[in-house]
Amino acid sequence: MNQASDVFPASSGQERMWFLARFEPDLAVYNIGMLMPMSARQPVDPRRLEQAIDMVVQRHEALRTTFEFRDGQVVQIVSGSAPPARLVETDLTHLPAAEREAELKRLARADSAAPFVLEQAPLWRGRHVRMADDDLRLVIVFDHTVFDGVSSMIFIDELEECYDAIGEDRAPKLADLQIQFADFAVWQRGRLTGEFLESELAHWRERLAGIPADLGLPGDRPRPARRTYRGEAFLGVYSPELSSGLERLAKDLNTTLFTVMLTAYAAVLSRWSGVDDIVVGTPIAGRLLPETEPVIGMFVNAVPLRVDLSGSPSFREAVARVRTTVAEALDHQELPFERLVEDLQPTRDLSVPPLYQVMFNLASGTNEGQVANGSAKVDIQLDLNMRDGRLHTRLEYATDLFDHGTIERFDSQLRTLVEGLVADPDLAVRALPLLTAEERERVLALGASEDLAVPEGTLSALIEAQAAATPGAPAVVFGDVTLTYAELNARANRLARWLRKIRVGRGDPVAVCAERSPELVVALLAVLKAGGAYVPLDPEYPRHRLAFMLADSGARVLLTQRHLREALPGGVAKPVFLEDDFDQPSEDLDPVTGPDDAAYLIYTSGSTGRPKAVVNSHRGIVNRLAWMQDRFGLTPTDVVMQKTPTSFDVSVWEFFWPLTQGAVLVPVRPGGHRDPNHQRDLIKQHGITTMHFVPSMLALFLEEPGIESCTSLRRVVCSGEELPPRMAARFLERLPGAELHNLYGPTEAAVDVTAWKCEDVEGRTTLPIGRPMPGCRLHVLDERLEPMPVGVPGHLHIGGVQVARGYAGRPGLTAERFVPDPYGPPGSRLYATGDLARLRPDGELEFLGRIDDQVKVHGWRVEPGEVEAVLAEDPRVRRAVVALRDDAPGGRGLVAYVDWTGEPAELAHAMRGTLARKLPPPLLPQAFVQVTEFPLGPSGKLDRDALPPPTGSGRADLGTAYAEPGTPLEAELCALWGELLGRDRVGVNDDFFELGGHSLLAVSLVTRYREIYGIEMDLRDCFELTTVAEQALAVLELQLGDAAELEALLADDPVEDADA
Amino acid sequence: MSDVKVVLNDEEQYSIWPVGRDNPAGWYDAGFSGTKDECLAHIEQVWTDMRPRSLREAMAGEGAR
Repeated sequence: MNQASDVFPASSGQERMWFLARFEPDLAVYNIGMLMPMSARQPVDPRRLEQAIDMVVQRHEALRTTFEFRDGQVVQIVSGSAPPARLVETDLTHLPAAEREAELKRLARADSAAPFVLEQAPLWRGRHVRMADDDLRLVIVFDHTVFDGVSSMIFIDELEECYDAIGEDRAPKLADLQIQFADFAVWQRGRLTGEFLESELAHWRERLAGIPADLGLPGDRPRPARRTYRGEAFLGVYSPELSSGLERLAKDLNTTLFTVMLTAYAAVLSRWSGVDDIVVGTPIAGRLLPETEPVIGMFVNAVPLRVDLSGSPSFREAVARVRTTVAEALDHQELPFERLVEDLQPTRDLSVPPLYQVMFNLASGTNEGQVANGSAKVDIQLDLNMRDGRLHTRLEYATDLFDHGTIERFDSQLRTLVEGLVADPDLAVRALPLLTAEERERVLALGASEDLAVPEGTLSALIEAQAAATPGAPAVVFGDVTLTYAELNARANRLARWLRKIRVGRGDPVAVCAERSPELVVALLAVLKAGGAYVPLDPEYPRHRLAFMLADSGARVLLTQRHLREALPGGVAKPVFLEDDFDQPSEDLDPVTGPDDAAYLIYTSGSTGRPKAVVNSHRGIVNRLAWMQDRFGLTPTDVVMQKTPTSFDVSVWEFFWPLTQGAVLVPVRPGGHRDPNHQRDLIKQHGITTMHFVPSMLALFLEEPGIESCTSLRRVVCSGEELPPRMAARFLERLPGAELHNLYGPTEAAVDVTAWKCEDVEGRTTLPIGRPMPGCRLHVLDERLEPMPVGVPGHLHIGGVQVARGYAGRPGLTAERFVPDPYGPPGSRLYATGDLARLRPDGELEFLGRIDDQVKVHGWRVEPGEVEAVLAEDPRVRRAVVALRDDAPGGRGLVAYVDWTGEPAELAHAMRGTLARKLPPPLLPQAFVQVTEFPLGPSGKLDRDALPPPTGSGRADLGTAYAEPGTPLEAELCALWGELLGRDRVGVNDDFFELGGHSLLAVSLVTRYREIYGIEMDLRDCFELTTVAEQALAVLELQLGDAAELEALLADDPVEDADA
Repeated sequence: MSDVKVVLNDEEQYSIWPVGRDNPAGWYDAGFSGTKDECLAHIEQVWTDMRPRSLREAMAGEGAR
C-alpha cells in the first residue's frame, strides 16, 4: 500500500463473494471478463489506453479496493491511489491472420479463468492484444467483488471518453460521483436492520415456503457431492421474425419481453423436471438510489422468482402470473440474496446451488463482449440479449451435470416452444411443443423396433413340431428322471385329452398348482393343448391368496399334486392329480386355438388393490420367444435351468423357449430357487448354459464360492429389478465366459420388451434397459401421450404385439391402463406401465423407477439406488439396500441396510464418512443397520416391506450423543468450538453445523487453527470433517504433514508420543 | 364437468380419451363422457365380455358348427 487507505465493512454481497473465493480458491466463477474491440478508435495507442484506464481507476474506489478478514468480519480496504496501470502486451501479428481471432479468444478465456486473490490489489487485470498494425484489442477482467454488469457499461463508456479526452488534450466529460461503493455498503448495512429487515425476510419466507431443495433437472450424470462450478456456454440467436414476433406478443400481452421469455424458460424447465413450481434466480441491478447509477461496484443482487405453472394454465394466463411475481419481487429486491439463503437454507450443501438452480437474465445493453471462462454459477443460466433486431441466447450450464448435446437440445426446445407460443399464446403451457414435427417423428421412431415379421403360431403347436422333429432327444431332466420329447408330448396329450373330456375348452382358465417337477411341465403343456389358458398358483403362497386366485380366475379345474392337497383351499375347482394315469390316446390333439387365444393368466399385485390376472395371448409370448431365439440362437445342445416359480412370468420363457428349440429343460428341485449353492452344483452337474436371475438372487449367487467352475454357462438373463452396474461388473469378472443381459418388461407385455447386453459397465451409474424387441414399441410420453424429448423423463408406454389382452374380469382397470395408441395401427392400444423412463441420445432406454414411488426426502427427490451404489463400492460391504422409512431416527428418511464384513462398531462412522465424500447431504442415510440376510419375496426379489425397523440405531448412530474428548487436542478443539459457537459444552462427535456453525464461523475456525497450531486447514475440509473428532485428526495430520508418520503415531501409545 | 369420454375400437375393447381431442385412428366414441371415475365405472358395466370381438366371433362360429 503506497498511500493511506480506508477500511469499511464489506457489503453483504461482497462478503459472500469473499467467502466463495476462500472456499474455492482455484475457481474464478465470479470473474467478469470483457473483450473490447475498440473498433471506432483504431489504431489504438496502448499508452493512451493505459492512461485512460488510470483515470477510470482513479474515479472509482471499487477499482482500488481489496479485502481482508479482520476480527471475524470481512472488510474492504480502499486505497487512496493506485499505481499506474500496466497492461500485459501480447502481439499476435506473427500468427497467420486467420488464427489470430481464435488465439485472442483463448487468451481472453484464460485471463478470465484465473482467480484473483482478494487481499492483493488490483482486483482487475488487463491485456492489450495486437491483432494487426492498426488493430489493438483490450481484454479486461474484473473480480465480481468490485464490479457488476452495470459497471461494465459504465467502464466502457468512461474508458472511451477518457481515451478520447486524452487524445484531444481536454478533461473528460464525466458526471461527478456523489458517492462511492463503500458508502453504499455502509448505508446498506444500516438499512438492513430492525423492522425493515424483518418484514423483508417475512415476505420472502412466506413467498418461498416449501420450495424444492433441488429442481431436479435430468442431467447426463448424477450431481457430484461437491459441485465444481465448471461450466460452458451455448450461444444461439433467433430469427428476426421470431424476435419481432416475441416483442409484438409482449406488447399484446401488456408485458415485457423479460416476462414472456421467463415464462417460456420456466415452461421448458417444468417439462424437463416434471414439476410445476419453478424457482428461477434473476439478477437485479440493485441501484435504487440515483447516486449509485454512475458508480462502479458490486451493487447487483439476485432475487428468486417463483413461477407457478400448476393447474394447466394457458401461456397467456401463465404470463399474467409471472408478471405479478416479477412485480412483487421488484418490490422486495433489497434483501441481499445471501441473507435470504442464510435465513431459508442455513444448512450448507456443497452439491447444489441454494434456493434456485437456474437463472435468467435479459441484458439491457449489449453483452457481446462477455467472455466465457469455463465456469457456471448454477445448473443452467439463460442470458438473453436483443441486439440488431435479433434475440441472442446464451445458455451457461454446469458441466457437472450436462453435456453439450443436452444443452443444445434445451436451446432447440426452448426455441420450438417460443415459436409455438408466438403462434398461439392461448395454448396450455404443457401443450406447447418442445419438438418440431420432424424431431417428434424421430423420437417416436427411436421407440419403435426394427420391423421383423411377427411369427404366427401357438406355444403348443411349436412344441408339437419340435417333438416330431427330435422325439428321442431329452426334453426334461429332473434328478434321475428324463423325459424325451416324445414322452413329454405323449404325456401332455393324454392329460389334455382328459381335460377336454372333463369339458375344458378353448379359452377356459385351468389352475395349475404343482411343485417344480416333470409333472408340472406336462400340466402346463396339457392345458395349452386342450385349448385352455393356464393359471399358475404357487404352492408356497398363503392359502387365502390361493383361494382368492382360484375364485377370481373362475377356473373349474385345478391340476395339482396329491401331497399338496392339504395345503390347498377347497372350492368349486375340480382337483385333478398329476400323478394319476390318464388312460387316453397319446397322439396330438386337433388344435382349437389360434395366436389370439389366451395362453396364460398370471396374477400381479400392484401397489394398490387386490391382485389381478393379466391375460396374455399366444401371439405375444410366441413373439417374445422368437426374439429370444433370434438373439441367443439356442440349440439342442443347450441346457436351460428352470427355477422361477410359475407365478412369475419369467418362468414362461424358461419352460417354453427350450422346448420349442429341442434344448434340455432342467427344473430346480422345489425350494432350490432360493439356494445359490444348489444352483451352482446343478449348473456343473447338468452343464447348464442358460439361466435367469433377478438381481437380488444374482447378488447371492455371485458371493457363492466356486462359481468360476460353472464354465458351461453361456448366458445369464436378468430382469425383475434394476441391475446395478457394480453387480454386472462383478458378474463379468467372476464369470468371464458368460454374457449378461439386462431385460425389462411387465407381465402386461409378455415378460420382456427391451434388452441390453452388459458390456463396458465400469464407470456407469446406471445400466440401460436397451431397445425395444421386434414387434414392440416403447414410448416415453407426457400425460397427454405426447412424446418426451430425448433425455427427459416421462411415463413409459408399451405398444405392439406383446401387449396383453387386459386384466381378467377387470374392465375398468383394463380401460385405464390399456389406452388408445396414437402411434400404432388403427385401434391398437398402449399399456401404461407406471414406470418412469427416458430415452438416451443413443436410443437406449433408461429405467428411472416407478412413478408411484418417487422417493422424496426433505424436499429432495432421492434415488436410493444411488446411495446403494456408493455403499457397495466399499470392499467391506457385501450388499447394501437403502430404504425410505417413516420410522427412521429423526423422522421419515433413508435407512441403509448393510451386509458388513468390517468391525460392527465401525459401520455407521465408516459409511457416513464415505458417503459424505461422494453424495449430497440429503442422500446420507439417517441410520445404518447391519444385516446378514435380506428378506426376499417368493420371486426372489428383495422384499422391502420386510426389512427390519432401524431399532437400536439410536442417537449414537446419528453421531449426536455427547462424547467426552479423549485427547488433549480434542479437549482444546472442544473448548475452541464452544467459544466460537457460544456453547458451554461441545462433545467430540458434535457437528459444527448442527451447533449453529456457518460459513463465516468456519473461516474463523480456520483462522484460529492457523494462529494456534500454525496450520493451514483447507476451508472445504471444514465442510466435510464436521465433528471435533474428525477435525482433531485433520489438525494432527497437518501438523505432522505426513500421513505415514501419523499412522505410526496412532498405532503407538499416545502418552509416549505426547512430545513427539 | 366431463373431461373424459369412453371410446372403443373395432375389437370392442374399451378405453378412455380426453374430451376435445381427436380420437386416435380406429377409436370411436361410445357415447358416454364424464369424470375419469365415471367413465371407468361405465366401462365396468358395459364391457362384459373382454375377449376381442374377432376372437369372440370366431369362437361363436365354431360353436355353431
